[in-house]
Amino acid sequence: MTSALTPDPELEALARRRLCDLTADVQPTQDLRRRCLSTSENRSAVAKANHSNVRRWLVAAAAACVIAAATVMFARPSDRDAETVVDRPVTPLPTAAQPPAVISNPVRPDTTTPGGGGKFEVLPAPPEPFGLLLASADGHIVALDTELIDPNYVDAGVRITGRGFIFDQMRNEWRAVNGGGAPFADAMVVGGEAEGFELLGVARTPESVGPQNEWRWSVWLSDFDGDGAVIAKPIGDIGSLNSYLDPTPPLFRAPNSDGRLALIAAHASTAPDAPLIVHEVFADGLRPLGPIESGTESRLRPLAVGAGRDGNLFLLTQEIDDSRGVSPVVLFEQTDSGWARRSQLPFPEAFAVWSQDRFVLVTNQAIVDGVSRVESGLGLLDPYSGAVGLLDPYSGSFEVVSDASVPGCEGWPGLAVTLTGDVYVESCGQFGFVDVDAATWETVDRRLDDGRELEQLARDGAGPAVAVARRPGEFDPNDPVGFDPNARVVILG
Amino acid sequence: MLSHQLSVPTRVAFVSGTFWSSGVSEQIEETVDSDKAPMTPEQMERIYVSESTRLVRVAYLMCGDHAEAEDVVAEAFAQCWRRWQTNPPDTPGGYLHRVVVNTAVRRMNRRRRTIPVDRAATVGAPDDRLTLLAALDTLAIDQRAVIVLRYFDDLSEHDVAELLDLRPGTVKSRAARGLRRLEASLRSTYEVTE
Repeated sequence: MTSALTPDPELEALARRRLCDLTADVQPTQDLRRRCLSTSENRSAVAKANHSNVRRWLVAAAAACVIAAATVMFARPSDRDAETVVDRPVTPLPTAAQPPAVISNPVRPDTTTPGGGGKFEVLPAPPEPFGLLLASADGHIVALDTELIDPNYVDAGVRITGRGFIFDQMRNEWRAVNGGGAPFADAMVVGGEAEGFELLGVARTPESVGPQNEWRWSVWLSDFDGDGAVIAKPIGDIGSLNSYLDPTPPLFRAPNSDGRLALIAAHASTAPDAPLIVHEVFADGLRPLGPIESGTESRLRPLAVGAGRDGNLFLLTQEIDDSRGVSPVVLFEQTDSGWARRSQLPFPEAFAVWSQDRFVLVTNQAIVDGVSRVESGLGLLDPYSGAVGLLDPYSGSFEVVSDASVPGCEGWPGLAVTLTGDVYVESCGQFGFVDVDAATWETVDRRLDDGRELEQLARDGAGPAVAVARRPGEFDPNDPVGFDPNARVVILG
Repeated sequence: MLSHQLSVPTRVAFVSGTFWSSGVSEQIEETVDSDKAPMTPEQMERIYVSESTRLVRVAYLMCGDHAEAEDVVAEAFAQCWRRWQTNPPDTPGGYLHRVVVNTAVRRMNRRRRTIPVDRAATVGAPDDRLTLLAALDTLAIDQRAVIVLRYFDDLSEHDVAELLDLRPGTVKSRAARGLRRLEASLRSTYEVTE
């Protein structure tokens, strides 16, 4: 006899048997092993081994490498043909070199807990001002020196010198390191260890190769030689780009089991209908992954890249159709026969980060009646709301997880997704925190105890959420170099 | 460091009342507890080897989908790895188990908000597996968690209560109601298809 609150022993026995039978052939896949352990071993042991391999390779070719790199660094890169990219099996780029302990610093006295969005951890001040803050997917935080390309001509842009500081979480201090001194226009940190860090960057040639505003772009990698010195080496050209349409070729990170680490998407030429080409980056070359054709009157602008669980790539683009005035976000998937168009989303632009097998997107616009204009987006949003959504590339479905608004924000220049899935959004100085699981949005109080205010998220978006904090009024936002001796670095979450 | 090779755990090691301090988890716990050093990748791998099969199965029963179960386990490992860099737990196996269950519950709550689950509608002939999964889908998330932990993981009512932050009496009543609901669901499925 059993009561309503007491399980029937017969049913209990049956449940035990049926549940065990149901899972008898459920086994973890090799992919799960990679996914689970890539959070640990890939960031230390495997990465270290990879790095050792690279070092051995570099030692073996040290003289030739240095000479070649120096020769190319000071040669006219425009002599190289944009189409001569490497198309052969190559050694994977070394992955990260340290465990991601940087993001798990012990709480220190200067930690502050503002209202909403979790806690901040204010790091010690870097010894010198920095112009660019980068955070790598494996947890490295790097503050880089920048300089004007031409001090007499501000619009010429900013160059990343490669000098800088990397945060040593064990000693709780910044260490001066060298990223190779490459003439980067934009860069991402792709690894690091005791001697310094590795930068993957893009650089444009110092002269125009066509009509005004056309530039030839090359990809560079800073790497260690056998003695611990850092050099930068060009590893390939990605073509000539129109600076209006492609101000800087976007760098994406898409690590997967094959060792592919980063990808760069760029158009093959400045022609209006030029296909988009994703270049896979390896330590000694680039490999194009086939063209993605756009229409005769449309142009694809890459937004983000992700590596699916089967090793296939997903590419999120904005399709700009000048004739119709529509620019939907379109998802492509890499297949055996090329890139296949998978789905189209009902908004014209988005900031996207690949995280945990899905795209996290922030958008604040929608396409209404086939015309790109700001309107009540997604049926849920007002024009000035920030919708944070998750795009499942396997089903193509887009799920809005937060549509709360941040007052006064019309753009979304910053998006960071931490390793544990926390989402931070930054816009116009406002910071927001999205709890994806709870589908809630909190505006983060960006004021720190010391009077500084969070200003901008670090570049990258798929590692620790790191922001720059400055004292109001002590920084000239029009200063293109962005040096601020009072700036601090803050880890969010 | 672990001083000896760990073997794949059996469910016997987690029989009720001994879950938090028995079997492989205990071996891992002893090592981790002794020095409180950050978890090394080698330790993590051993934990993976010893725990992954059971965790995937638990997540599978919670979610009803193998791919999603692996997502849950991968997410749990990522969370634990981060936390264990500064604060390794006394019981890594138990901690990981708790994170997997909570992650699965969160995901299922979200999934129910966004995607109506109608596995039963896809079932034609009473395939035992699909039928049972469909029956599990009819349970409330918390009820399902109790059933899985109690009757697949063989945890005691006390351990289930601790893991889900419930009172043991609540676990007992949810288990009773869940079993009856499963029985009714399975019975109706078979009656309809007969």
